Amino acid sequence: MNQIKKRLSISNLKYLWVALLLSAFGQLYAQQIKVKGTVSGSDGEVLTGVSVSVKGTTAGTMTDVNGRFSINVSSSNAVLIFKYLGYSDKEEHVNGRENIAVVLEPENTALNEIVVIGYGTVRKSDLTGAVASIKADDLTQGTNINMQQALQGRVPGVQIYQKSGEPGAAMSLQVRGITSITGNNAPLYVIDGMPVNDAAAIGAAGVGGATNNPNNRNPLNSLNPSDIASIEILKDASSTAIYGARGANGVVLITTKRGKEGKLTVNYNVTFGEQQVANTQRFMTGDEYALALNGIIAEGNLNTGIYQPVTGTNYNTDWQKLLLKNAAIQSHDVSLSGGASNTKYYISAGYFDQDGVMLNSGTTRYNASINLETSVPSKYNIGFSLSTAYIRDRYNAKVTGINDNASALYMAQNYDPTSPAYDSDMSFYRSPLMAPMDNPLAVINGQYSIGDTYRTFGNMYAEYFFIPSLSAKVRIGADLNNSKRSFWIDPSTLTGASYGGYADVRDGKRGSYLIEGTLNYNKTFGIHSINAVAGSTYERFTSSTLIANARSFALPDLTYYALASGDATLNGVGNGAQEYIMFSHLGRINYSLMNKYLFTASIRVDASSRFGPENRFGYFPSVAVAWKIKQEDFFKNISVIDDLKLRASYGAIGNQPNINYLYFSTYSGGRDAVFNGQRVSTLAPTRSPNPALQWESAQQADIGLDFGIWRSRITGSIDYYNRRTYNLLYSVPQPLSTGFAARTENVGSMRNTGIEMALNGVLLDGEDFKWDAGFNITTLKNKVLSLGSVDEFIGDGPGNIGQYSILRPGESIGSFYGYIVDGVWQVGDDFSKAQAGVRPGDLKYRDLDNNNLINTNDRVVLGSSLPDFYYGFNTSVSYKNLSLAVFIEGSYGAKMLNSSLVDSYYPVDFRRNKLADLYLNRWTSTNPTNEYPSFIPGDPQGSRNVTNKTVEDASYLRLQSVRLAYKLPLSKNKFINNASVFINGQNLHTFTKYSGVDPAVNAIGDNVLRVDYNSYPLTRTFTAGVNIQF
Amino acid sequence: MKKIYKYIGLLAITVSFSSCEKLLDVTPNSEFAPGNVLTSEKGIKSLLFSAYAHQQTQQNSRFVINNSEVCTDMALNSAGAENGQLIHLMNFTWDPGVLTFQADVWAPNYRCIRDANEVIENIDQLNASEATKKLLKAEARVLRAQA
Repeated sequence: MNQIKKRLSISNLKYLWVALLLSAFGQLYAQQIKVKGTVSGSDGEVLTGVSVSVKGTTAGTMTDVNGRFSINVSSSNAVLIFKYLGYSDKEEHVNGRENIAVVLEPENTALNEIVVIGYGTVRKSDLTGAVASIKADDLTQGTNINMQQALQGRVPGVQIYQKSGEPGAAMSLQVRGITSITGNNAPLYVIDGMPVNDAAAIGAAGVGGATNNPNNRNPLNSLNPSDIASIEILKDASSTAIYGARGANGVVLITTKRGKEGKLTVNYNVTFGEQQVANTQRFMTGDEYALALNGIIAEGNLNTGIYQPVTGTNYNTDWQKLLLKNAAIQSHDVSLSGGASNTKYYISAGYFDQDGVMLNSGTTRYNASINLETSVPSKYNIGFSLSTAYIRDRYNAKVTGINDNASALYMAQNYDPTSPAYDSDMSFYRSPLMAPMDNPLAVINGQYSIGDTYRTFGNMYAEYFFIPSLSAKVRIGADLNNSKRSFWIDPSTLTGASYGGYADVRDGKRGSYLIEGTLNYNKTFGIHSINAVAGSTYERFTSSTLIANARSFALPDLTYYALASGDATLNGVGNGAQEYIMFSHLGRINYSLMNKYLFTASIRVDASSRFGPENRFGYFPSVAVAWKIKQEDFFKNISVIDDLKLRASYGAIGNQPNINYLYFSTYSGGRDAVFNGQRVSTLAPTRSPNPALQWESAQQADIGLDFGIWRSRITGSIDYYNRRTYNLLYSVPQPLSTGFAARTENVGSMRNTGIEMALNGVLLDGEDFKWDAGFNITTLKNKVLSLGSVDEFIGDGPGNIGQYSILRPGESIGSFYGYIVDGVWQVGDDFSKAQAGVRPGDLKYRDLDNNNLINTNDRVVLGSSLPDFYYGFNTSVSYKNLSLAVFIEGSYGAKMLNSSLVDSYYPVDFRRNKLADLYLNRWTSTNPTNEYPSFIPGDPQGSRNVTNKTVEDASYLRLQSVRLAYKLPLSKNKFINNASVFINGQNLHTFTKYSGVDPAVNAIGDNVLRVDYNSYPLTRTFTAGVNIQF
Repeated sequence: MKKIYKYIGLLAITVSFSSCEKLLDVTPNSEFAPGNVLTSEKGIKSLLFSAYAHQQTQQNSRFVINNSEVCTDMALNSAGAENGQLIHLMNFTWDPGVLTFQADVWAPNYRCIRDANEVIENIDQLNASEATKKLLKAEARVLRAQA
């Protein structure tokens, strides 16, 4: 076998690299001395494929699998140069020796860290694209359920926010802004080389009543953040184009921890903590409520038959407080790792439990993972990684409806605060004036659901080296998500009573299966270095659901566990199954000339079953160049700067719709018809098909500069990006006469531009005292360039908000569309300019067309949900064994619609409770403020829900995390290697002008437009923990 | 060894091109193809029934009553979330921001027209007696006219 391989390697060299060898032959004519030797690393391991060249000549060779080399030199004074990835270059004088043993030292600087890129790895200094690499130590420490929490604010160009304070709630992660209107805006997640199917197995939609939850749990919760070794975020086209049709929103590569050679290491990490509600909105107390509402009735001379005054006993019930509590959080992670020379292992198990600060909510996770690797350098490499988790979620009702379909929190904010919580017989008290709204306590205790998620993902790979520079790799993987959600509406609630109890059980499965083969070529010839990969992948994605529900239970005690005990004639069932397939070819070549000039070219060809046969294939090429200026001779003497690299890249990347089968017409079950008192099932067209549907294509340019000064005490990078998306996927509203609401089409184009910058500094590096700091900032500017033949699209909001958003060329995506309030009409104003019937104390909307009528022509763009810039700052100080880390993050310029303000300005019902600030400081004849109106019903201008009053500035600066750790002084050679204790505070304080519960939420699940719809409050968390290593 | 290369090459080419289109064929298991629905009597009847359904059980039919009656002296709305829309109707100041006409009044009728049109378009290809075809077509036409 060895013989064959040697022959092969020679023939390969001959055939492929004749020209290079020919130049080497020139050396043969001079006087020849043969020098042999071995190359090994400082830890003794043999290094294969080390480039060996003779200084001042073009002669070169490489070490074989045993680290041996043999080279002819022309003089006994010759100098040999040894180069190897991840090791410092070394020059060795021959000095007449014929046998030389060379030891290479690994490079320790950050520049030589290995960075994972799509389908390969590269040395950080050889990166040509915009790739952010975060090691586990640089993630926000604390009790995080998913990796996005730990990543928030850490990476320029990556905006992350928690959509609500619910335990385990979905996170929004956007790389360089918004790519798509109604297509996908989330990045592709790749775990250990396997793209994961990151959609929830069960949709957010719930059942009648209030068990909906628009925010799904985050599917990535099934990956324990403590198992993550590093996260790479691919941002520019050069790095993402290798993922083709799924690269437009960036790619997040997650690498899990591997074993290290050496004896068994056991790591145990435990944390316990308490969460408090960070902030609630202040609604009126019973006393304030009585004063304000009775005041309005008196001031407006209202008909007390319709607007009933607040009378009777005042119980001053703080409904919000009744739903909220302090809650515990804890986690335990244990890992075992180690390895012998060829084989390494890492196994881990974890437990995470977070109780919600709202009653009846929380999440619990049990997970385990295993990573195995065995390899012989330059021969083969086989690995296996598997991660599995069981998650139990508890959900309370968090819908965006109103009245009886609202969430418990909505009811708590709106319910009459003078009412008692319980009646004298300890049943839930219901005020007749609050109907059809239910008692908030009844809803939170009686309308809930639980979720069971079993998710397993993993893959195995085998790589075989034909010759040290050429290998073939095969990977197979699967990601299986098996979920169940069980809903219950108890008869103790108003909704439940009308059903006689309602149970609904949903089963959802998602699968994704991968098979891929790649060929890798990696070789250095003197000043040329080539690294290439080519391959094909096949992925199949499946999903299926099964739904069953029952109502009218004889006894409701068994809730969703006994569907058969309901009234069989009222049972409901449903199911569905879908699949889609992607088949792709990919290729990339990295070429480095003299370690100064780097070139990368890549292409991916994707075929997806989500498109019709004519538009099935998408081609996504990219190119990049980088210039290591520091390596130039003219720069070598400038010692202040020790790294300087200029990068530029351009490429095309794609995005596909989230929905299957859009290109053809099908029929599904429709509304029942009724004939002779009998229900008859019907079939109706499922969608308005679009056979011409095609990829959304993004073209992105990126220019970047990486630098390091003062012996890398200060390092950083700055990037400018410009991404244009064409053929935007948009669910285009259709003319009413088609009978369809919308159809997914490719319309128009959009641009995202911005600058992102990261700076890291080691400010003090003493023996005992160390101080470092990092800062990153990203600017973001989005502009819709064209919408095809349409001038603008106006979108509808959740609940009863109505039209609230606009898409219009020239504006940013995520723009709010509404009215400007200039103040309040005052006594003595010129009412000839006002709409007929307007009274002093009504809101003064700006009448843009001066027609004395406030109508839809008076709307303007009120700002965008996208921030102008966002940033993060972290610093850590350590003195001997004590260390303190502080992390601050924030965002500036984003707007958010605060639905509590909408409900207070334009109440659904006069007697519902309102925000205290508005009603206590309202306009009255004795307090002629311009801030708030009189709130006297009957304003003829109607409800103008979206105004500059309800759309608020959501800029903020947050003290996100403070951590104090102490490393216990342990004498050596003890059983315990390492032990530290820490205390940690998360979300400690937020500086903001936003009046709602939190400026960084987005409770409706839409990633583009931000609406604070009775958001689950965010928490302030204090934890303490211990980390022990044996 | 060369043989292995050949096999790998061959495999790659085979996988790449010959079966590519077939690999991407997917069947929507839970949705009916037009062939199922439009060519059978049962199928086209179900579609016709859907047209009936949009006429019979319009979503939120209270809006149909509210929208027309608040403009007269027959009905009055003085408070609540719907007042935000209805006040414009009472004052005769409605504009495109009042979504109830579109969503609650017109859309169900247009859905009825859509389904009736599909029945009329495809009825002639149906494998059924002329009398049945004539009847179904007539029903669809009545529904369309009524909508």
